[in-house]
Amino acid sequence: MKGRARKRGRALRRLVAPLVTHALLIAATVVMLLPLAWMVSTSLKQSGIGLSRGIEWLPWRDAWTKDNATMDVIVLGARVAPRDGRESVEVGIKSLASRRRPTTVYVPEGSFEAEIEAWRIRPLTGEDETAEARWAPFGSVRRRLAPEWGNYREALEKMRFWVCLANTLAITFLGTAGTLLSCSLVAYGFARFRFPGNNVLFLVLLSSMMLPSVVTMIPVYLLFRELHWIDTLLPLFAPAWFSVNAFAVFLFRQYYMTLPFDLDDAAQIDGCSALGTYWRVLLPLSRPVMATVGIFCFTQYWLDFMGPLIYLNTSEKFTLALGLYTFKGAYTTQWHYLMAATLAVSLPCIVLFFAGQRFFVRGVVMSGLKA
Amino acid sequence: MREPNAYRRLSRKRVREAASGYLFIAPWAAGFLLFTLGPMMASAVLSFCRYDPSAVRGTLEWVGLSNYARMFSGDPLFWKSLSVTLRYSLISIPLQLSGGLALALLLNRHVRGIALYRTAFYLPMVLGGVAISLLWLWLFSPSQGLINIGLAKVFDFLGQDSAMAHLLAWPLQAVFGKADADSLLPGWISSERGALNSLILMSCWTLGGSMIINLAGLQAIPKTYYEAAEIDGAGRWTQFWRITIPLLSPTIFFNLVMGVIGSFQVFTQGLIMTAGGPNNSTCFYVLNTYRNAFEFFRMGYASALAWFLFVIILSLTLLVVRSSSLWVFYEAQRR
Repeated sequence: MKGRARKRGRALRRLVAPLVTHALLIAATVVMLLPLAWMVSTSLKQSGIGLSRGIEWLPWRDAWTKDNATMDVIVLGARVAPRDGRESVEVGIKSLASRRRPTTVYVPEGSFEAEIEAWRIRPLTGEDETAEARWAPFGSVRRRLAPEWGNYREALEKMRFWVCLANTLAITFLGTAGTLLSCSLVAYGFARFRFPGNNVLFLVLLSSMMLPSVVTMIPVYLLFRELHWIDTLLPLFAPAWFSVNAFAVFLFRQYYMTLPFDLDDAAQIDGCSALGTYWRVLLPLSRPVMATVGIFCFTQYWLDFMGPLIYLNTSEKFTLALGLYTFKGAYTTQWHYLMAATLAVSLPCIVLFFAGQRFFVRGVVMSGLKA
Repeated sequence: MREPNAYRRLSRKRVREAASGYLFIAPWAAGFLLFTLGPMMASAVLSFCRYDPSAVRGTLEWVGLSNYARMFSGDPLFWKSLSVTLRYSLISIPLQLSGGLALALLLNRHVRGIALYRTAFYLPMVLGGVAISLLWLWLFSPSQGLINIGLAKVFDFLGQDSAMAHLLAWPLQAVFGKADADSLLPGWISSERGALNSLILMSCWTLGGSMIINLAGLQAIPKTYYEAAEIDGAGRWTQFWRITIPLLSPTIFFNLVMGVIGSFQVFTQGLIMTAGGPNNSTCFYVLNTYRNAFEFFRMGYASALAWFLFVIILSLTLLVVRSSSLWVFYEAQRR
């Protein structure tokens, strides 16, 4: 008896456990994705009234139609009011095209109740009641979907997106290329050559990963100032060519360590120099690491904020991250613009993430393995 | 082991090998001297000086320990920023670690669609600090933000004056402040009480990184251990504490070290979302340092601040590393 009950309990658990797991995971997914969905939604909304319509995930707009003429309106509110002996719904609307006073539209009860349910109804304010009511018995107010694609055009124009994009692309490309080349070269030195201090120097390199960048920030700034590199893109990518990314060196070295020395020997017998062995044999073999490091560097340079903030002054030199920050300063409450710009700035990284996800995951995982 | 003077008796081939080795690591050596070691020394020296780069050249002036004296006795913002950063780290690191672990544990239960979930959890990480800050600034907006509109609906549903609404509002407002005096809504980053806690809450949105590392750690644990434990009659709970946690401890350790290093350098959110306010309640340590250096041009004082931060991070990291022998379990050591 007892055994059977336990068996049944186990079967039940086997059935319920995955459901609970999925329920929890889906809840977490919703929490993670909801802010992103709200960002997309906001970026397509109409300015002003579109943003204060409460929680509407789609960019709805109200239009008043009468006698085949349609006019974009703001619904100020609605209430039930008797009219000509019939119950009617009184809808206060305001034209968007002209700055006309609020108008009241009377709609027979019943015909539009369902639609009115869907509107965000706020009580009419005092202003609306004193307004001269215009009789428009059979006009109707309808919601329609109207995504404001123009938000993107205007936001990008206002934040000088294309200028920032060119700068960001230059920094990202030069920074990533520099990191890949210099770090793989240095890693080759650490992995393939015996020299006094090899291990000690590698430990020094590893420990430099732990160094907070704030400590070196001021003297490095002063150094670049001496070079008259302030307000140029140089300070942002030049260090990459000196293999400052210790983590990348580490990844390359670990990978080279797994490649047999026979490869080097064979290349040397074929007449390759040490540099030739690196360039022709080991580097082409290390494509997976290059992809991982490349993707990491790309996002790192693309998203870098503090560097541009410190080194760039004129808006012609701004990167996307810095441009977005200054854009926020100028358009504090224009959330439809801000969200459109934010999405446009992060889109390349999102696309890259989806395209190279396994490299992303591998990079994060490898960063954890060294512990 | 080689004898100490082994290299003296090296063949020409070995000398040439060493020379090429040095040549290959030369870029790093140069970069290390230029961008790490040199600046570290310089910043140590600067921390004993007064230096205003905006003034006429040659304003470098040796002031001894006065920068440090000022830090500890004459600058209330230093203590404020230190306590703000400590509070942020103390709360956000455990939250992120346990959240990342919980999600990884859920994902490790052979669920379908693991790749989809993983993608969703990691996605916020690729937005970057500026975008995340702007998005959450909008979400946290007291009057128009998604969170408060949603909460307002809940309160409307419960009835503004109902006991349930107040019961829900009270803990929220205790942690996240008040939107305004007679409102049930939290004020989030606009209130002094809630600003820092709101940023901590926001930091939980990006626990995808620690989740992925934890997941990889979990997947590396051999299934046979659990099978053996089950045969021995160990329940789920025992298995978790006796197998999962010990074998995952190196991963947790890594996340902890990275969490300490990262959270002490929080900057972007503080600058973009709250500008250090309200009333310096989110004036993070690095933000304070940045302002001293690049807004007030007190580079000497800022260097002293930076060095103190370095000492804190270094000692905390060492503390974690030293304590790790007590709680981190490496399989290779189990001989």
